[in-house]
Amino acid sequence: MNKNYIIDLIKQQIQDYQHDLKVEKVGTVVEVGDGIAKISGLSDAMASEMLDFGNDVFGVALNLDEDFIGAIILGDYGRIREGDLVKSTGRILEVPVGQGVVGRVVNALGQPIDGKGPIKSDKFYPIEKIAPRVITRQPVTTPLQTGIKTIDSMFPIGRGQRELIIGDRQTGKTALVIDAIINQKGQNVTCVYVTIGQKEAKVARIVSELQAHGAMEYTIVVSASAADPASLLYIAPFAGCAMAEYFMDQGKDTLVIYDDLSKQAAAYRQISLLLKRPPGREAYPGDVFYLHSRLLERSARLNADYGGGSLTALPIIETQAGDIAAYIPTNVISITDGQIFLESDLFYQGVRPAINTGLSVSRVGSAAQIKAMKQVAGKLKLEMAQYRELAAFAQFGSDLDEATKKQINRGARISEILKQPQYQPMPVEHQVLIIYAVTNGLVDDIAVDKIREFETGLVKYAQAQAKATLEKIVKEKQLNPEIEESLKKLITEYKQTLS
Amino acid sequence: MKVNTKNYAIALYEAVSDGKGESLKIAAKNFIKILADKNLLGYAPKIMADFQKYYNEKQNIIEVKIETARELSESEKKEITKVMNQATKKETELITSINDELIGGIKLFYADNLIDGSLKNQLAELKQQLLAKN
Repeated sequence: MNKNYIIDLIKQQIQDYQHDLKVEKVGTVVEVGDGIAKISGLSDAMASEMLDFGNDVFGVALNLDEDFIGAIILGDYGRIREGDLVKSTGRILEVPVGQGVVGRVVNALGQPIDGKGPIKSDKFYPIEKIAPRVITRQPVTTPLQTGIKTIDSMFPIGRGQRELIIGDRQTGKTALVIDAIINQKGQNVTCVYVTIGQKEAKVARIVSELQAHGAMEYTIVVSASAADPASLLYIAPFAGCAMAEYFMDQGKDTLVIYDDLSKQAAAYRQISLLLKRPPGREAYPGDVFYLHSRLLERSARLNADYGGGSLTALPIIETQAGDIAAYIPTNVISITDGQIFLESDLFYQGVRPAINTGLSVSRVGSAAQIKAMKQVAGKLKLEMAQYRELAAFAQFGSDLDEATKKQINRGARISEILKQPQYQPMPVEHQVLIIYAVTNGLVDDIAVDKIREFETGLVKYAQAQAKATLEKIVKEKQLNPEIEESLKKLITEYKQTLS
Repeated sequence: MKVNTKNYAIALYEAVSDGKGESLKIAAKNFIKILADKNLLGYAPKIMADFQKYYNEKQNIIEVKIETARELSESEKKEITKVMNQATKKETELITSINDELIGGIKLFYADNLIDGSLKNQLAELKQQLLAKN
């Protein structure tokens, strides 16, 4: 390229340079520390307005007092000094949204942190938005298949639902939701995975796992790691929600995972205490309930007039020693449409996913379950409950009558069938097949420790021999006598090949 | 206990606003005695700052701080005062300071407002515009 050409180009641009004097609203930093700044001046700042601290550091005005503004600083607050000028921007905090963000790992402000260059997006959504109103909504009708047998059969999740995943540390909460994301492949669902206060190493591992399963093509990872300031941890879920909302407004289905909200609540508590807001129970501020309710209320199933998109939320809460009666867990349980309760005792017994079927519930999802699943899994919950009771009783070792023995045998097989290894979500038709087999007593004559083997064998056999039947289940969404007959035939045939 | 310095400043203003000569001196002396009695002398600088603010507000005076790269001439200062008087409809009190970093032009603060007409700012804006186009 000609050197003069470049010079001419720049010359032209300098000549085009427009400068108009404008009045800017400014204030000065009076106090700064712990990610919080006290600012005097800026008399007409808005609540949650973005403030420019210079050097590409921004903040958000949270407290508007008589003489001062309390603001959180997003990013590196080490370079901000007392007496620095702060400019108001007139904008509410917003993040980039759209197809350009999909497949990327971004921080809570929507800036890329995966080293794949800048994000190509010219659309922005504010991170705080009022949830969709009543007239825009419709009831949950479409299932969101997680690919996890226990959930899809007993605690089905519908598109637009909010289902809490709760449990102690190391009970497989994250593994569950990662499987759910992997299972959305080809289902036309955009996923947003928000990590809050997690180790960077864990985030890196999850991203590479998602990549290995081809799930990053439809997933956005929003990461506010343990090393980030509390302000970023606090806004990360809202940023992730805004990114999903964009796709919901386009009429698409979305799934957002907040991993986990207890760390967000702790970050918000830190900010609130530093801003000298009065502490309440467990030192959380009074509006910590509103913090989570306004976030989760943004999940919705829009009706056809408003595009018909949906936003499903799977918030995660970490409990301490199984205490689901603590402040934050009870709050979020009451906000969501049900919870999946994971227990460490079950986990160590080898029941993985370690879902407690007695304490878990899904309040709206059953309306969205496909009929075939409802037909085969209807009795599952009851049988599991009876099994648990009888199993506890049978530990005394006394002689049992035939009916009780049969019930215990059946229960042992059901809980065996519900076990599932990580990264192996199962399509719904396979789930129907296997649950049909066990609830109809077709596997009662197979030893409990051979059940898992039988399961994988049966699925392989069905794929080879009876693909048409499986496809029929997906298409007709229910079991008519004809399909049922062919399922029964298929299972007996497979059993014959074993002997 | 939290001391409301603003209230002290207002009280002082009320006490001295219509005083003249000797009575003014007595009022000021008494005020200092009160502060000493209540162990509040440490707050005196804060009270004075609040007093200045309240005084300006009451007397319809506005402080305008200007930063320039070089010393302003008297006529330039007068011009600025005249313009600011018209713009704010208040009596303007100029506070000037010199800042070499501005290169040229003038930076003007009043109330919570900033008008940045410095060469430094224009260069920064030019840089932004050039970067945005490429």
